[in-house]
Amino acid sequence: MGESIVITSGKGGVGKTTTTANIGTAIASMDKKVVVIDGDTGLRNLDVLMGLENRVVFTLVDVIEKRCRLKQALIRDKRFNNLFLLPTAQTRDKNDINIKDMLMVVNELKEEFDYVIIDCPAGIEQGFENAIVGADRAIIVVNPELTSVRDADRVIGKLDSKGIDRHEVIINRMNYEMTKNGDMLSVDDIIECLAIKLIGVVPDDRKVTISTNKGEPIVLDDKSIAGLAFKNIARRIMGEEVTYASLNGSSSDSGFFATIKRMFNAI
Amino acid sequence: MVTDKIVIKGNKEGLNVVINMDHFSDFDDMLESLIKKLAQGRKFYKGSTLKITTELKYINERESRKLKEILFDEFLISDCIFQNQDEPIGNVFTGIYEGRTKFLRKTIRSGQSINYPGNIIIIGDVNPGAEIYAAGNIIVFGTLRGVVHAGSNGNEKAIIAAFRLEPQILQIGGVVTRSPEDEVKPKYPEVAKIKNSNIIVEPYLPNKYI
Repeated sequence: MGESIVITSGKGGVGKTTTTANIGTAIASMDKKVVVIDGDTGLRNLDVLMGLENRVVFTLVDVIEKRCRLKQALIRDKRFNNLFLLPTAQTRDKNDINIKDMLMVVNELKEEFDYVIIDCPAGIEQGFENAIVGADRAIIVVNPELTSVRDADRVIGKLDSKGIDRHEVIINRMNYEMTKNGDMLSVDDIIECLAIKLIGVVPDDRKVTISTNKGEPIVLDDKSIAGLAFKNIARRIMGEEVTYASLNGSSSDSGFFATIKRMFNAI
Repeated sequence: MVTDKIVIKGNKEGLNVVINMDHFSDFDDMLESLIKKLAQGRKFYKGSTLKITTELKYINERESRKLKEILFDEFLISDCIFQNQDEPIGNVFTGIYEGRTKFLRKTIRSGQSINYPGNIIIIGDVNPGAEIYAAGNIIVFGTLRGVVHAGSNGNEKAIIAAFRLEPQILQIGGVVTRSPEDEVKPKYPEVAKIKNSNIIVEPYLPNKYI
C-alpha cells in the first residue's frame, strides 16, 4: 500500500504544480513507482509542465464517469518508466468531480504505486476538497510573502479539521539577498507564523521558468540549485535525513562567495 | 414538564405566560410551541386575559400583531398585555477568578472560530484571521494576532493576556479597540483590561517594566 501526498497552498501561483512535477520526477528517479494526479480540473497544467500535453487522451473525469478504465487514463512519463500522470479534463469544472469518486480513484492508485502525489488547485472550494480527500499527508507550498503565508495558515487549519495532521511546508522562490536586507520574509519568520515543520527551501531560480516552458522538470538539470533543492525534498519525503546547515543565510560574512556558500548550505 | 421554554402561571390579575426566547431559534418557532401549549386547554383560555412576559426586543411590531391575532381569533381571549421581561442578570459569566475553563493545546489558524461560555486558555498561537470568543478571560501562551473578545456576555472585568499581544481587534465586554499601527511591539507578555471604560494594555507585571 502506497502513500498519498497532496501538494497545496491556498493561494495561486506559488508553485504547487511545479513542486508536484519535480517531486514526482525526483522520487521516480529513485526507483519508486509514482503517479501524479492533476487536481486542477478546468485549468490543467501538470501535463504541460511534464511535457506530456500531447499524450492526453482519457482524463480523470472519463475514469469517474466510466468512459475508460483507470489504467487507460494513466500516461507514462517520457523519461521514467515508473512515473505516471493522471491528467484531468480541461473542458469540465471542479464540481463535476465529487469526493467519493476521487477517494475511490486515489485508493485504487495507492494499491499499485508507492507514492500518489495530488496537485491541488488554488482556493478552498470543491477542487480543494476533492484533492485532499484521499491524502495521507500534505505538503504546503508558500512563497516568502505575507499573502501566501496567510492563505497557507487558513489551509493548514482546513487540513487539521479534515484530520490530515501530517503536514510540512516548502518555502518556494526564496531570495536570500532580499531576506538579508529585510525586504522579504525569512524562513524563520514563516515558520514562526505557521508553526509547522519545514521540509525544504527552494531558492528563486530563473531556470525554473525555462524548464516549465520546455516541459522538462528542473530536477533533471543537475546544475540547477532549485533542482537540487527539490531532489533533497524528495529524499526527505521518503524518510531520509538530509541536513540543511544554515536556513536563513543569516551568517555575518558577506560577499559573493559567501552568498553562494549560503545558498548551498540552505538547500 | 418537558421544558421551561413557556411557563403559564395564574395569579389574581389573570394568566401570565412567561416565554424564554433564548430557547427558540426565532419567533415562528416560539409561536408554534405556544399554540401547541395553549391548544391543550382551549376552553380554559376562552374569555381570559393573557399577560405575555418575554424579552420584547426579540419580537417586532408585526410579529406581536400576528401573535395577538392568533390569540384573539383562535383562542378567543378577551385581552392581551405584553410585558417586558428584564434582561436575565444571572447570564453574565462571573467565573473569571475561578471557574469553567477550556484548554486548547494547538495553534488557532485563520478562519477558525472558538466560542466558549467560560475562560479560554490557548497553548499555541492565535493567527491573523482567527476568532476567539470567551465569556471569561482569554490567555494565550504564544502570539495573539487574531480577533479576540473576552467577557463576551458582558463581564467587563475579564482580561486578555498573551506572551505577545498583537491582536487585530480586541474586545472586552462592550468595549472594542483596534490594534495601534505603530511598529513598536514589546517582547514581554502583556495584559489587556478595562479601566475607566477604556481598554488599557500593560505589561504582565507593571512594576517590572514601567
